[in-house]
Amino acid sequence: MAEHETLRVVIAEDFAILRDGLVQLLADRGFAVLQSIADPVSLERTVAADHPDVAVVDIRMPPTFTDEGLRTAIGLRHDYPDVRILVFSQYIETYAAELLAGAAAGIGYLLKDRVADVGDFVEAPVRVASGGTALDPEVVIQLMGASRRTDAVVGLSNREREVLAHMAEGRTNSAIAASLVISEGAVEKHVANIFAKLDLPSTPTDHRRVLAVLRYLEG
Amino acid sequence: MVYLDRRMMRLLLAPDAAASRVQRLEESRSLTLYAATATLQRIERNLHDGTQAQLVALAMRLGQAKEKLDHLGVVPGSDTALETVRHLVDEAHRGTKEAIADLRDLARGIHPPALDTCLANALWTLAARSPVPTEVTVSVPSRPTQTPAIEAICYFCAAELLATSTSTPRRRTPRLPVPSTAPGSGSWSGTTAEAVQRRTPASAPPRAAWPAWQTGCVPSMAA
Repeated sequence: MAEHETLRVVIAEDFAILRDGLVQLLADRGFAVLQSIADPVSLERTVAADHPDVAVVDIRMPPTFTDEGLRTAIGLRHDYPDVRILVFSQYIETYAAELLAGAAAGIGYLLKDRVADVGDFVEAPVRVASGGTALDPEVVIQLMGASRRTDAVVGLSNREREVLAHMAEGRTNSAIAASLVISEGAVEKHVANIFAKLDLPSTPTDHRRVLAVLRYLEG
Repeated sequence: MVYLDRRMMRLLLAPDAAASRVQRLEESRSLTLYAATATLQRIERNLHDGTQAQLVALAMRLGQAKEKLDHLGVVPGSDTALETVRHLVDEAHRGTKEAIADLRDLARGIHPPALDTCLANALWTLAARSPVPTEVTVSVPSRPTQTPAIEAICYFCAAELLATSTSTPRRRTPRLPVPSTAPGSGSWSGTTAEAVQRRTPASAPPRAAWPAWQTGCVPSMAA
């Protein structure tokens, strides 16, 4: 399991048991864990010094335990656009989802629960590192619920919205097909329709997937 | 003459016994409210930093154990002892994930963590989670930093109203306008703040210690 050995990761989580667990899990899966830290100031210092591929960041960290991690992550995105960010938290908050979704590609926002399904969880830093998205299903539900959707998205059929929601989570066509119990060909057709309806330029497919998701999330 | 004037002023303008009593009651009520809010916030924070985090770490370990067992590659049914272990680990894994979700709902009901950032953030999440589309308008230019209880009161009132409007079918979109000049808002920096300052020891400042960026809302959301 050394397929991610080139990915250099830092972990910012203030709860020691979880932090050590994450370090062990990611190291076990072939990631190079450069540093594990417990506060936003150390995170900024580490990113500046080491330039990791991905920073895994807990939202609530010292000193006030509100959303320091989120603020730091958004600052890092601005200062180091090539460092991808995977934010995780006990709660999904709509304002955080909107802030992160508006930040561009290469972003992830997961509930902490997702580390329980280790196989899926370790895929998230890989997707984020390659410029994709790794959004929690809960994030997608909330962003759909936040009634700020525009006409562009309203034009999509229910099935197309479902497919787009799965794309937002960062899933491949085959994974979407398995989840919705339809054929991969049907998924491809829906994806093509989504691209057409959202009027997305013809570029390599993966890039268009990210654009579709962003347009969707931006409302 | 001056003496008489003073007597008259005191007699006519000073608060009488009833007014003093009302003021004392207002102060003690504010204190109780503050203490209750602070306690709820502390309980949520303890859950978050303690039990919730431990459960997540536990679920991760069980998830790893589950994967290792799956990778053993034993044909189902060929080794009953291993099958039993696999079954037990599966159940423990699922149960832990359910406990995390349940605990999150419980903690959110005690004190929504987004309230720590600002009322608007908490209301946006509340509206986004609502099964019916909901419009939120918040115009609170600065936070009532010294009386955080008022934010929790607004939040739970909104949550209750939203729950009621969700259970009663309506054609109109529920709206949650939160003006900055709600009745009674003039007392935001009044008696409660003074009472809190008296009550709270200097070593443990209350929420007045919010950093400056938390006293307003996230700019992109205020638009």
